[in-house]
Amino acid sequence: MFKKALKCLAAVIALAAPLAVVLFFSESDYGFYDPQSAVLKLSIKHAGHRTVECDDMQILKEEAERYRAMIKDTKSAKMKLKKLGSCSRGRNPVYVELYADERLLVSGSFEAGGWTKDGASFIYGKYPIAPGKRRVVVKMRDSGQSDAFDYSFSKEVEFEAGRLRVVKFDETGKKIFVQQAP
Amino acid sequence: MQRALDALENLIDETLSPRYNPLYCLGAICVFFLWVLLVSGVYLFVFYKIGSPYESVKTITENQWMIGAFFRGMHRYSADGLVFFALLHLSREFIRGRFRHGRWTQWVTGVLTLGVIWTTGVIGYWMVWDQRSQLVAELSSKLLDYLPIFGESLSIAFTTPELVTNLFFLIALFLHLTLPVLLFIFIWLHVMRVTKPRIHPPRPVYAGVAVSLAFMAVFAPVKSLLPANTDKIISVIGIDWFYLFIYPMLNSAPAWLSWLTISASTAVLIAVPWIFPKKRPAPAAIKTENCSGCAVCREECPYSAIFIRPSGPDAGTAEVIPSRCASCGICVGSCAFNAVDFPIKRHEDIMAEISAKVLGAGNKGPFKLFFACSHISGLDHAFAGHAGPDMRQAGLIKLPCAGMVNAGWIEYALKLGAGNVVILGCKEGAGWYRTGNTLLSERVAMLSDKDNASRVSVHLTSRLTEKTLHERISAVNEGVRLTGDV
Repeated sequence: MFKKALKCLAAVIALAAPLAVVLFFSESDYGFYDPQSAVLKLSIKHAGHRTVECDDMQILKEEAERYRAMIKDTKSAKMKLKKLGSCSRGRNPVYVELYADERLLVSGSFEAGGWTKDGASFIYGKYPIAPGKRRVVVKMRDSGQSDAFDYSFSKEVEFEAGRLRVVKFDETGKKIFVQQAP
Repeated sequence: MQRALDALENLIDETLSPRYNPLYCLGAICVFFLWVLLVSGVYLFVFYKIGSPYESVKTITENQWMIGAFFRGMHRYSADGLVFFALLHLSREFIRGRFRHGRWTQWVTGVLTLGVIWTTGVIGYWMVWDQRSQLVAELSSKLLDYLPIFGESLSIAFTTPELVTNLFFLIALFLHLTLPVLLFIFIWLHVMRVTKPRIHPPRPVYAGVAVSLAFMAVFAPVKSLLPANTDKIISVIGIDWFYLFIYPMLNSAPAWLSWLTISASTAVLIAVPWIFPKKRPAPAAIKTENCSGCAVCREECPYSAIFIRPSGPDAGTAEVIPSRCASCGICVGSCAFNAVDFPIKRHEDIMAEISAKVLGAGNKGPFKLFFACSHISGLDHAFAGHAGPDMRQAGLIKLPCAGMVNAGWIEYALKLGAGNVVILGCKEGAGWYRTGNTLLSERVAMLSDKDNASRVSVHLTSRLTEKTLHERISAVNEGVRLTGDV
């Protein structure tokens, strides 16, 4: 009888051991950010200037004209598609510097997206910051020039504990801004 | 590690019996979790709304008289149990060294299956769209953004609430539903080279796992956190370490380091069969001239390493695929025509060994010939150290697997004058070569002289000591059955 009870107890333990492991690891706390800090998020999607300035439309127009003339004279012609692609579509990387109270949070060049580096650059990052009023300064360059900044932003921003502020770029107004929480 | 595993298995054997030891059916338990996931997943899918993910999950959890909460709990805990038992399965096979040679396909597909399980589970977390989901989605995007395959940055999509559209949840739902198809393909590949794979655990194990899941689902119900809010930072939250273990690292380390860690650990895990190589034992081969084409060897080979030639001059005879052969020798035991050439221990050598042992014992009393699986721990020690008078009348022939014992050898030993033949195989459910120990009764049934069968006993054990060997010999002398006797 005692042996049977002991066996039952052991069976319960054998079942409970994996159960306890699953329950424990299924949800255990982890601190990703200090709850007393705020976060400044940098989230910009912006395409730098093209590395080679050329008029795609003019090239297309000229090629179409040549094609039209040739087909009129010879009744056969080949469109030189290579010529259309001769103009590089590559874009300059976007260079960004971000400061909070003169403390540099990030500075770097962000490559244009896509295999041929002809898309927009994406700048994304999260930076913990102490709550309070901070002067946020953002400088951005998209023209490939080595010294001058094409856009700059400077503003006193209130940071609350546990809240986020996002630095974004307005493509229509061509300006940097900090999005306030609703 | 082998010893620790032996001790753990023995402990559970003693409490639950080897038949119901969950460690012997870890893969089958994983398959059971998959079925639970499928059934509970279908239920959740019916009520899940892409347009309002958080609210729909909340409704399922709170407004369905516990039914929704129960199914959600079953879904979550079976997903966690799946990873836990898959890791146990992987670890056990690693400790036992069962990943080399012909078994590399099972190992590699097993690791890939684990990868698909993990990916599917992580995507499942996106769908709830609470704070945890938000964090997982943001950090997953950080990881994916590092790959130059997406035109747009995925991280930017989680900057503000208005950017998180229904399309995101549609993609998550689509992936969460389609990846399991890949999972079933991998599982099929995993068991493809295994004859009669064990995909159903014994009923009591089924019941135990189901009761445990239900217990957790009822008494530790799964709840959503606060709704996702991209304006607030997520500080301390509970995470599921079975799936989200990489996320603390993703949060603090650069994406390249996370990729390096993930790819390096996956590569190492996949390459285990080649990182820990061992000289491959010589595979079995068929002596075509003796083969009758009965196909019993093909049926009994645990690794589908034998086929019957469909054409050619030797059509209708068996052929061994050397790359799949685990060199267990089970085909030797299955063949009544001495048609298998097994270089590790040839038929002729064993016959000579039987003669030497039985005839060499002289006429000092009934001789007991033991055929034993060499993977039984303590075997050599038990036989070497036992110096009792009964031991002088016992002989041991070690085989790679007890399933190698051929009925012809037993008859030969008895004919020469052996009093009894004892076959020692691995414990029930824990056969080193999968089914080798389950075939032993069939080997005895193959004896042409049925009277001989009463002089043959089969005993399944994982460990032999001097004491248990002595008990075994006494039991044979007295005709008593012991635990483990078949």
